[in-house]
This record gives sequence, C-alpha cells and structure tokens, in this order.
Amino acid sequence: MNNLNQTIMIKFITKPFEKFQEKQLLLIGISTALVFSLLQLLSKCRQIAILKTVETTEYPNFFQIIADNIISTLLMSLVLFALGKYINSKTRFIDILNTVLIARIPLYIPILFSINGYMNNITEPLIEKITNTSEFTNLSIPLMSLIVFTIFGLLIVLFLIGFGYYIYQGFKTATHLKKTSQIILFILLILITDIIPTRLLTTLY
Amino acid sequence: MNTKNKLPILCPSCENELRVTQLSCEKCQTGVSGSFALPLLLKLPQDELDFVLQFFMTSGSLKQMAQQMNISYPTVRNKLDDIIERLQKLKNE
Repeated sequence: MNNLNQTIMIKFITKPFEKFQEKQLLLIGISTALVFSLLQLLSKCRQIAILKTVETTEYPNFFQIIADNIISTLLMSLVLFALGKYINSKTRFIDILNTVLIARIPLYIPILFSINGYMNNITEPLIEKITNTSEFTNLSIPLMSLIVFTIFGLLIVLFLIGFGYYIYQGFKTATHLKKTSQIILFILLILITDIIPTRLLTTLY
Repeated sequence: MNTKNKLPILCPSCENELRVTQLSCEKCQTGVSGSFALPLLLKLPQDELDFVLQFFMTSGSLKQMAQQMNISYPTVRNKLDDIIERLQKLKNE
C-alpha cells in the first residue's frame, strides 16, 4: 500500500500535467507565484524574465514584482499558445498558462538565496576581487565564499533543468507534441521570447 | 469461477492479424464457417477499446472522462486523438 502511494505521489510530481485537473494546476501555480512574490519583498533581486533573475541594490516594491511576474508569464504563455495552436488546433490557453506557471516554480527558489541580499554580499566582493586583481595567482578568495558560490551555481543548473523538464512535459501534454522539428521550434521560441521582457522591463519601470 | 477471456486480435505465433473462421449458436450448436474480418473497433487493444466504451458511456464528454479516470483533460483528448489515428490507419489497410 505504501509503495502504491509512493508511486502515485511520484507520478503527481513527475507528470503533474497528466494527473492534475486544470483548476488544481492553476491554483498551485498562482498561489506559489504569490508566496514567492511576497518572499521577494525581502530579497534584493528582480526576475526580469522567466530565465533571468538580477541582483539589485535595493529591495523591489510589490508592484515591480507582480508586474515582472505577470508580463513574463503572459508573454511566454501567449507565444507558446500561438505555437501550440499551430501544432494542434485543439490546444487550450489554460493548459499553456498552467504549463508556464508550474514550470516557473523551480526558478522561484533562487529568490530565497537573495533574501536580505545574502547572495549579493557573497558575489559582489568576489567579482570585485577578480576584476581588480591583475595577476590570477594573487587572487585570494575565502574558501567559504567559494563553496557557497559553487553550490549556488550547481543549484541554479538543477533548477533550470527542472524548468526545462516541466515546460516540455506541460507543452507536450497540452499540444500532443510529437515531431522533432516542432520540439526544436519550441526550444528556440522559449529562448527568444525570454529575451523580450529583459529588454522591456528594465526600461519600462 | 467466471473468467472473461480476452479476444485475441493478433496471431501469437507470427503477430499477423487474426480473422474469424467459425461462429456457432450456443443454443442449437449450428455452426457457420468462413473467413470474416474483425470489426474495426475490435481490432483495437483492450485498453483502447475500454476507452472508446467509456467515451460512449459519458456521451462523449472528455471532461467527465477526465474526472472519472483521475487524469487531466488534455491527456484524455490526446489518447482519443491517438485512437482516432490508429483507427484511420486500420481503415486504410
């Protein structure tokens, strides 16, 4: 019985788009986005695109956080919906929106590292030291900073893989994606679409 | 014990499609011999046949099916599309 529950649990985590109904996915996606938006008030960072988080010198305000989130999520959803409609005319917007909302969850986690500018306090002196030291051999970096920096880097890679996994799973379920050429187009479109808000949001407000 | 035998649709030896060669009346034992093709729907595997039956029983409501099967709406729709594709292939064979 325990094994069966475990298997069901694993399926809910690995294949959420097959197991959860659309209203449940929407609720999970929006509530997670709201929780992390509130946590972001304590951090010194802004998510200016789905794949781009920047460290800031000041705490962001709630309007900035919500606007960043809505613009990048809606933009990605609309572009992927257009591609979804092209691949399969039965594609629904709600399934694409849920895909983007759920896929973003792993990328919210790095916000926790920026609470009170924690990551900024480690990376800034490190970058300053690297840029100001003329000879690489004279570089003396505190071991603790290096360990934290490496772990953080590895975690970011892991979260990006998580994003890639969920966005692919969700899009595949929403559109019945099968052809390799469509998969390549899907990946390219995600990368291109994510550049737009980075340019837009940093100049708008 | 009452066991329900699964209708074989492929030859267990060479995996070629099976045909009906004999039918008989259980009451008077009259037998009919010949070579009859299986109806299109019976050529589907059992799980897909069950899916079609459920689709029929829910009056074609994919939303209701998704709730009954505890899976998402697009997953049900994708499965239906796969079955339609398979039936079209079988029809053209």
